Amino acid sequence: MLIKLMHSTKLILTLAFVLSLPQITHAEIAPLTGLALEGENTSLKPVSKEAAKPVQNTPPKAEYDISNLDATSDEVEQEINDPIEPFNRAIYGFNRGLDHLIIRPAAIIYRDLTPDWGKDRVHSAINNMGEPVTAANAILQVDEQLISDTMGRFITNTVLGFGGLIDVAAEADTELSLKKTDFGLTLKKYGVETGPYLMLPILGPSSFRDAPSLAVDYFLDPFNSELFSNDFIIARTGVIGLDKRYNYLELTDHVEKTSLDEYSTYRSIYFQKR
Amino acid sequence: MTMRLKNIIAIIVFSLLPLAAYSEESAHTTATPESFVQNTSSRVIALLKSRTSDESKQKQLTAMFLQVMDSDWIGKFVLGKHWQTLSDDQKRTYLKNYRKYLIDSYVPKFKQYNDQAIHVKGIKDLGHGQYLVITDIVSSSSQANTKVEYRIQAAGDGYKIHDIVAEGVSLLTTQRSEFSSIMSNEGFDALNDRLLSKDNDNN
Repeated sequence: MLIKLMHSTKLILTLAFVLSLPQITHAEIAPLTGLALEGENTSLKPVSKEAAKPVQNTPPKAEYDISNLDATSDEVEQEINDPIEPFNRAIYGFNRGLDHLIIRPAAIIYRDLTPDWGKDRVHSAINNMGEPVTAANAILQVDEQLISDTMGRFITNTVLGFGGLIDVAAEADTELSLKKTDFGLTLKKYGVETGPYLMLPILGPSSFRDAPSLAVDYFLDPFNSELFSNDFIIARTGVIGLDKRYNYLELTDHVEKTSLDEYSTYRSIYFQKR
Repeated sequence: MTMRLKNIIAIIVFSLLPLAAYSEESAHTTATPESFVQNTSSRVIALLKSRTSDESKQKQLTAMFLQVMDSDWIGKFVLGKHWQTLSDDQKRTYLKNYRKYLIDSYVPKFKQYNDQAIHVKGIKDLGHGQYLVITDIVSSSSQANTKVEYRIQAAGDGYKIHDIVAEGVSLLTTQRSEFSSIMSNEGFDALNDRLLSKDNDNN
């Protein structure tokens, strides 16, 4: 019933949603996309039907034929574009030091002192406040399914899920579980390559395509607008960081324990995911 | 990155086990990989939940792990073109150390098993005796499922695992990139030293 209601009203929701976002107006989208795509050999047509699908549903696959493959050939070498590796490694060293000194201990305190129920509520609320950016990028990607799913989730979870504290949409229908996209993936859809790897201070693995995209997503985000106080914006950013670091604890601990070269492990994961 | 990687690592070993059991029994059954994975996962869960000592579990799991993971093939693959540059002695040393490294990296993770269940979503026949087993790992404490795919290769009467892809991240691709970086920058001795030092860390 809930799902039916959500689907039948998706057009209205779409319009209402767009109008409710002070920052996502046509006048602002055009220069943003124009600027970002300028100078690149791209057109505004989707690269392929494949690329038009929600990104999370089409994870990159390791495409190789094992039986015919000489295990030691370099046919299936992963493409790693990292011309400024020494610089990136230096930043990684800095990040790792800072992480061990402050960020990881904070995440461990958060893990140990907050009940799981509380952490789940924080995670849901953070995800809910991220939906407008996903929706904005879904619009830019002209991905109707993602637009309607994201808007449906945002309205449902905000209204029925107590401001997003509970992900009622996903509980009602697993098809409606969280899907994320961002401006880096919007550029990818229009044919912009990942470009050279770039390790950002504090923020971590990124690329020449994705690093500037972070700024675009920041400005697309209504929760960073003038409607909200600086204190709120800073606090929310801190909580996002804490939630994210907590969720990566197990992965980073595993990598630290087993990787022979952490820097190249994270770099490889980054290129497989983006 | 939109990874849902929390818990993935912990469950990888757990989810290997049904495949291990499949490999073990396939000589005596004609079940499809799909049905067998489903049926035997309960057996593995029983082992994990049993009151057997951790030491004994670790021993049994190591035996299964070795049986099902094609560690020599994977070891060669992740070294890529550098394999050819090694002497026969170096190759033997490397494969021996790699096998131990792989076991020490993954098998102890069973201690983190926490009631996850494995659901086989489908099997894709890739031809040449290769299959892609697509699974969802379902955790009782979280509503988010984790997508894990296994690339398996028919070998003798059973199967061997050649790759594990968790939420789009491939074990083979990641390790190959890592090993290749060390071989190019520092050479074989450094790689070998690091394999050994990781073994010590985990013991």
